[in-house]
Amino acid sequence: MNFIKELRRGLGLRASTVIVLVALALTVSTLLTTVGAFDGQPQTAPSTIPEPSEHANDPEANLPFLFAVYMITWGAFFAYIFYVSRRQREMQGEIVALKRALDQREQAEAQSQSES
Amino acid sequence: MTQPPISQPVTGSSATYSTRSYLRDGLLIVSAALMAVTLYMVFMWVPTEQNLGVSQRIFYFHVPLGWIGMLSIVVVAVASLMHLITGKEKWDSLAYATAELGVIFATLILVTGAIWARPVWGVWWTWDAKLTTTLVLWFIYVGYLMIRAYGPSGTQGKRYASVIALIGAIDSPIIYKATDWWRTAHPERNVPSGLASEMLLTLLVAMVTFTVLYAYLLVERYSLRKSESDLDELHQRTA
Repeated sequence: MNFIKELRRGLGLRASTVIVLVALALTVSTLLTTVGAFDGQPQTAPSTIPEPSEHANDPEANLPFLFAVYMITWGAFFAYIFYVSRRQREMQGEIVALKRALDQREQAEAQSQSES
Repeated sequence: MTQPPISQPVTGSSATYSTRSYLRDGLLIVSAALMAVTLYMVFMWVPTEQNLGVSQRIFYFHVPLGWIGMLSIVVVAVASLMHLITGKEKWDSLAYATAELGVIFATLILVTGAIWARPVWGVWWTWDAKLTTTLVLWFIYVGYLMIRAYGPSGTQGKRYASVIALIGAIDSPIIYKATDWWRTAHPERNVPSGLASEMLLTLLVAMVTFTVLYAYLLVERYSLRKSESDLDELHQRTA
């Protein structure tokens, strides 16, 4: 609900409503249909695709592939979150420094005006 | 033009920043908790599929990534359309933040799909309709970001990118319907009659988890975009 409030505050009521409705419609339709991917049986493969490789009957044979998927996905998310957080920190520091510099400049200008 | 006093934030208020911070923290905590539940369900709870073995568990990540990848392009397109209509900066910021996330999710869709395909199909990649249209989506995202990075600066560049996003959104229903329209090796999106309830529940939890994670990343990136705008504005004032 906080996210909805944040969207509403940032983008306005009408815009937030449009986004939420689109997201809801997509969620419902996708959930109802994409679960088909779990049928377990791949569709008939085109002729360009060879037969499944060796160890096809061994359920544990493909563990390295599963491990690779999870490592890559997690690695990508952590790297991105790290990058965004660091960039945010750097920018906040730069903003504070610039505001301070502007403050000082305005004070100096005001002082010179009062002296003249 | 009257400039805002320097003692005040460039945009928004301190309350807004605070709320955004709470929102970020909340979404991060919920996302982490849900991810822990998802990992437990995927590795410890859900049964192994008989035909595909453990490689089927890749789907518990691959399918939600696909959903978020498609959601992202719709959000980019809607935000770009609103930017073209209203010309407001916030829409452009939302589109840009979502496009960057879209590249990440689209990349992960392609990579996880290729890793799943290797043991099951025997190849890393094939020019299947579903895979090819997803690759096109990835190029659209990258094209959008390249226009923003190397295209005309200012309003013109934003408008070009918005048009790219709107054209790119056409790819979303094509990806979605690819298994219906073409003969494809990709598992089709029908609702299975004999799907184990544990598998269905795990998939649904994974979808919710990734949606919350996407919301967190979007708020985080949107905040960064706002900071970038604030910084640009300050640079202009100091110049």
